Amino acid sequence: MAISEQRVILKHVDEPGYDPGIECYVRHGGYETLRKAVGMQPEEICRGVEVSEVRGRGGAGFPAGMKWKFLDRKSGKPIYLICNADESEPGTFKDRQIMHKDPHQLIEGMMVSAFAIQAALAFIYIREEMPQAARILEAAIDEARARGFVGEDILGSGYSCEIVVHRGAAAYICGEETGLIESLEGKRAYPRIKPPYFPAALGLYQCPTIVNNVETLCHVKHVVAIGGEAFARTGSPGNTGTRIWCVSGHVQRPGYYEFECGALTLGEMIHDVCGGVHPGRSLKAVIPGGSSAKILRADERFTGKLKDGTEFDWGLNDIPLDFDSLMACGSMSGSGGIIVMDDRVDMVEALANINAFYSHESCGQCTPCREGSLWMKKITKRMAEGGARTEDTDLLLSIGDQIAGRTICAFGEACAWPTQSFVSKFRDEFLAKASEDSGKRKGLRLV
Amino acid sequence: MATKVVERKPLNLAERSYLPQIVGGLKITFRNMWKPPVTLEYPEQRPNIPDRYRGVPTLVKDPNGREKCVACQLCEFVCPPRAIRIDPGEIPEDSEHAHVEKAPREFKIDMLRCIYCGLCEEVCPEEAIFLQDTFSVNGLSRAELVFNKKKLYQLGGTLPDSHYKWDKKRDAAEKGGDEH
Amino acid sequence: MATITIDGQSYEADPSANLLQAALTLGFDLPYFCWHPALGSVGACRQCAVRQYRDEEDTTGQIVMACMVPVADGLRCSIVEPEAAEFRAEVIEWLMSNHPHDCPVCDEGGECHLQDMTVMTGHCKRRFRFPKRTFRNQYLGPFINHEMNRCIQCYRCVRFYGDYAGGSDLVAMAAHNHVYFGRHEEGILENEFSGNLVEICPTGVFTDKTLKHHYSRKWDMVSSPSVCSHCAVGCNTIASTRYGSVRRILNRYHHDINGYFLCDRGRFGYTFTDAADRLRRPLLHPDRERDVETVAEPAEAMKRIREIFSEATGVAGIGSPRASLESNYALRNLVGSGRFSSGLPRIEHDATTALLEAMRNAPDGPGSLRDAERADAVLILGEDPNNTAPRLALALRQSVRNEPIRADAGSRIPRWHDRAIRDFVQDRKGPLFIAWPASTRLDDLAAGTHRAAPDEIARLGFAVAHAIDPQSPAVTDLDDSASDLASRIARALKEADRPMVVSGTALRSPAIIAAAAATVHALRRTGSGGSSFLAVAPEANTIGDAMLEGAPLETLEQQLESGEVDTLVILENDIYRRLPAPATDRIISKARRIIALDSIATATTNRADVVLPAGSFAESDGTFVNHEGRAQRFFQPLPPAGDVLEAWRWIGRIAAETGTSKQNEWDRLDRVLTALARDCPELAPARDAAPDAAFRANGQRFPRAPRRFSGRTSILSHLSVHEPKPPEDSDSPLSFTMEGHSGQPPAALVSHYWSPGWNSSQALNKFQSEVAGPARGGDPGARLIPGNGPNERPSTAIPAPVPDDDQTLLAVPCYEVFGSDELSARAPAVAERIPKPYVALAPTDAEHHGLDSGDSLNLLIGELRVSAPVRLDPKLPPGLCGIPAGMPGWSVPHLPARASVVT
Repeated sequence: MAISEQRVILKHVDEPGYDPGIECYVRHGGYETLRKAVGMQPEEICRGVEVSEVRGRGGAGFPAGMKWKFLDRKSGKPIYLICNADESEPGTFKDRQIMHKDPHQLIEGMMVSAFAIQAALAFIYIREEMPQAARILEAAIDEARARGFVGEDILGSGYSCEIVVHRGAAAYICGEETGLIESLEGKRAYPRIKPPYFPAALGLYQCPTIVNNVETLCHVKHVVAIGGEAFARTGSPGNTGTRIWCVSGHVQRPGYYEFECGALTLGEMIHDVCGGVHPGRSLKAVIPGGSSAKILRADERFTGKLKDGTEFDWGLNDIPLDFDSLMACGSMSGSGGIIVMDDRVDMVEALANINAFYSHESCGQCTPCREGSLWMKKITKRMAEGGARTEDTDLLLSIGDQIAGRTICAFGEACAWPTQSFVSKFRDEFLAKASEDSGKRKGLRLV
Repeated sequence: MATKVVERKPLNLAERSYLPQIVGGLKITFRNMWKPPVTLEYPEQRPNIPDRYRGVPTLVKDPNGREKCVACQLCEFVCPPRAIRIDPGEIPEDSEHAHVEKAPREFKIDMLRCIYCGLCEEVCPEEAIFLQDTFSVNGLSRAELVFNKKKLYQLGGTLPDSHYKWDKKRDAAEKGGDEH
Repeated sequence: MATITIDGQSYEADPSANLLQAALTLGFDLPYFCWHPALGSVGACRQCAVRQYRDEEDTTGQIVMACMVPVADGLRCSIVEPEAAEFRAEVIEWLMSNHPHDCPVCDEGGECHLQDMTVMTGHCKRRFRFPKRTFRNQYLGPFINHEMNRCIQCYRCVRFYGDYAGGSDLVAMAAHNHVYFGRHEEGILENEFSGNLVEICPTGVFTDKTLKHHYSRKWDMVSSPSVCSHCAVGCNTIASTRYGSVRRILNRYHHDINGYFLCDRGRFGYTFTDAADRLRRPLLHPDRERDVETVAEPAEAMKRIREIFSEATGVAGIGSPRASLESNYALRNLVGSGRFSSGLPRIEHDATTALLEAMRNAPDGPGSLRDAERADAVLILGEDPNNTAPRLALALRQSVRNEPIRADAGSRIPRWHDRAIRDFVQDRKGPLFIAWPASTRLDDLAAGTHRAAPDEIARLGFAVAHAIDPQSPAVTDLDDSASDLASRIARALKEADRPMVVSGTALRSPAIIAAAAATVHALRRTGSGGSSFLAVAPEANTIGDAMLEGAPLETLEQQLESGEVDTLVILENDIYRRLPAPATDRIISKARRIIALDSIATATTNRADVVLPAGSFAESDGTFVNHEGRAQRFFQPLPPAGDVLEAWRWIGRIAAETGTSKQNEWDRLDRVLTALARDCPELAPARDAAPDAAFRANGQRFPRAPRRFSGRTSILSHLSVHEPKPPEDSDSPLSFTMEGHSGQPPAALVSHYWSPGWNSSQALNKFQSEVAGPARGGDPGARLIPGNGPNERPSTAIPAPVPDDDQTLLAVPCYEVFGSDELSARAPAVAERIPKPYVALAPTDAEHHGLDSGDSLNLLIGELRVSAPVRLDPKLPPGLCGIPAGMPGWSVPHLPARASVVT
């Protein structure tokens, strides 16, 4: 059964002849929404976004409208809008597509959002590894400015806002919103402590600041285009709109796919949309939301109650792809990076790889993840290399358990969840390592 | 307190002559005359000292001739009669042992005060001080019995272990340490 | 006060504090690393975890970091809760995973906060079985040793060095598990407060390099409470000794003065006490020539002194601003107040007298460093605090944050939340104005600077006073920029809650001090409540010396000239540093006989007939009066060895020998102080600066040696194997041994910070009435100058504008933190940091004379020829040149003066 995509954000990007230039964008109805938006009251837009229940696409899934509502407008300080384009979660490559193939959609989404929150200045904080995207965006902003979509007196509304593209220095931690703000201020990207740092009140330069993901800002455009109520009817209740899922790993057709939230299940995504695992292989596990999300085992049963009280009893293939269902299954939809693993995968090695990434990306500010992530990496690397000890499995768990929830930012969870879930769900595989011959695979190369 | 008068028994003839006692005594004498001796002809003969004997505290070197003491002063700290004095010193940059950072400039033990308790040996993190088998300490003056570093190393000799902890540490650091 | 519940017990706590502070104040042992009472919280180390409960019903609670939780009424938490305790142990395990277990060779061992915290959390079993991370260490100069492998990444060092002290050359580099704290390349740490890293670092990354050269463990050092002798701030210190020499200086907390920090001059200047040129035996110079000196027995020297006194027609005494109050007073008593000189040349004497006058008349008395730290608008008039009173500069650096914080009171971020406050303040700085001829290291903070000749600085000060209160006389002919600046300064000072004017004798200008006083009084008259005058003086006892009201050196010269006097007793004073060499030579040659007392050999002692070896701060008990008129007692950590005696004791012996007093009248410090109190009522409170020698706790003295003091029986075995009787101390309630009172002594007698389980200097928390608050039982010292003197309208003699002069330059003194102080300059580590001689010149003047940076410049100042390479200072106004004061071997006294360029 072939399921067709429901493209909204990526509607045109892969059409033949569609290019990232402004001409092409305007030809496809671009910047009409901005024109509509500047004719509206900013509060109206904010309300629309709130009603639409559009949730953040960066990882935590926090409702964007709620975030905007927290904005401290009374302080009299300038308000900043930051587009978080520091897409760096392993397994995620959706924002890159938008920026490369349809930059004006992001710019329009940003300008609509900036107008809505009456931002004084907007930033795109883009990851160093995407220099091409940065150049495309800079060129696009110039084009948009030339046509009055960005900069002084936008479309004659009297509202002015400039967009600054800021290239980060390629640190995962800059994807954390307060780390990003610190980095933008020119400091080490050390996440700030909440409280008192809620960016909506004390953000960039201690001014009220909104940080949203690329995809989220694009959605704002569509919210305004079709109206909050209409938007809220797409997807499933509480999980509105479409999402871009990035499927990677051992499937026949990896790639990015846009669907309405909850419109299909994980099984449909893997088996129907992506063609399933390679012939002769069987599905072993799936990480549903970028490498920091907790892993799901293929033969697991998930039971429990959803938020609305309905009970569920799902296998891996039955899990609807939306925010709440994955959360109910003990994982998260995160940044939408679905990593599929077939039976060839050595889970210890996979975890060693993930741990290598997180230990390298720990910012070094607070102790648990700075020291703990490296320790976990060393243990998993040793285990993968055949030097496992009997106590390693429990040691890994005990380190992971102490990190999660006890760090300054969510990186603690990001680096502890893989270990916690891998070890508890594939305990036998970890324990078996200890009885294998040691030293046979010295010098494993990890990321 | 009531007293009781005990009458002394009169001695019989054998007792009065002392002869049986003398013969008995001589029996013991002659019996022991042919047994091997149990005493040592000290100082010509020396006793066998058991391994765990706690004699004079001494300092030892490792098989490479490096003095093992790093002048941490823990023995000085723990010494109950406060008999140890250490002058910590830096190891010069150009020494082959420069990576050890410290060594005693002077190390003195007041043997008149030492109580041979062995706490210094127990506390030493470097296994540099040992109570060895020397038990007789003597000299012609009190000052002679304050042993200095030279004397302590003379008594201590070399510890034939091959940990080379500091060399390993240096090698690890030179390799650039561990991956980060 | 708020009521909080810890482990089911209710306590009162200060709602402006955080939970960690409150718990420590209440006596709980809660481990921490990144938090520091002076630096605040950043929540980075995650060590102070406790479990917090919402209310009484809440039994699950959540783990929070105590340093990040504000104290609030009804706060409930548990420290002993097992999961929190387990997490704290886990944090230690993490930190220990890469910490080398090299405690045996680590200088921090035995006083290491990391050791203490490890024991406190109970972590003992190592599960990390991998090679440890290693780093390359850096050379950081003569003060600080660097051993990065020991680092636990608490970020305290960079927070102190960068955020608190304003240094830019120590930063955090790299990321994740490889964060490195160091310089961008090897080299000397530039900041003059780098020594505090030794105490800030919770483990052995930054250690005292001077200590390393003669290392001793903390538990082995005999220490006593001391007062820094290297400037007039009078920072409280702990001087520690072993085997008869000073091994290191540590900070001794004083709530109103130095708090937690010292400057490098004070911390590392101590090694002059052990320098080769220390005087340890009496010397006789038959022909007043150093070359033919003979070492004499004390009795022989005394005999010679008796002869000198009997032959003398009149004896005059030259006191010293670096000698203790007792020594100066003893000398004044010996020669009579008519023949007592303060030891200062007239130019300095007049400025010091004016300063003292201003202090006496200051509303509410002279301000302290704590006042400076809390000030929200500051005017520095004719001082360069970084170089003349370094610790003051550190306090002023904190003051510029007060105004931005106050101005944005709505943010409601607590002051202890350091990260948030600093982000919040960003680069905004409160008003700090600096009037000083050259550039200063506080310029980066200044809202405005005025660089001009001393008289112009005074004129600016008077203009500010006039702008505040029109009743003050107006300054005529002030140029536009200066009058503009004056009105800006006046506005800032008037708007402030706690304005402060800092002034002193650095430019030897009574007019500047009068202008500063006029400003303070103008502020007070216009209703500013907290207006405060902070006086800066150059030397440890300048104020105490001035309060004895001796005459300037020039008066003495007249007395010598008239024949009224022919013999001099010179107390710890090198006259060659005070007057130009020709003038000094005149005084020396006019005096028939000279008796000198000093701890160090100087040009002056070299020309004395008899030299008596006086004790340095380490071998003396005495009192210094600091810049705020606070008398502070310092106690000897070392019993004087050999023939060395406290100067006041020598003078007492001279008095007895020559029949001016009885032998036993002057042999106890308390007796000298009693006599002083009788003779000088203003100085009488100095007696109460510390408990007297008879003071006891439960009949016991207070030990100088820590309880674990080791090597006792062998320590002197190279001299005698018989354990000698410990030295007695008749002058203080301290004992030289470990025996005595085991509890906490009064703050003035604290010899070391130690508390069960707290071996590092962090044990200080247990010695304070509340964390970062005053010492238990009150801070030591006695304020001598209550202020509010009768003269509310000080001198208003406004100097005339400085005329343009194409022919000559006005040479003004400038100062160097390392070099301008006589004693510390003799310490080898400090000597390494002393700049080469130079004359600072404005680029336009240099061009005018055809000179470039580094070229040799010859100047004629009065009768003195000065030659030094040019250093260009673009901030220096044309017509001025700056000459460093008091540089060793290159002293140019008697400035400011006109200098002509010799070609």
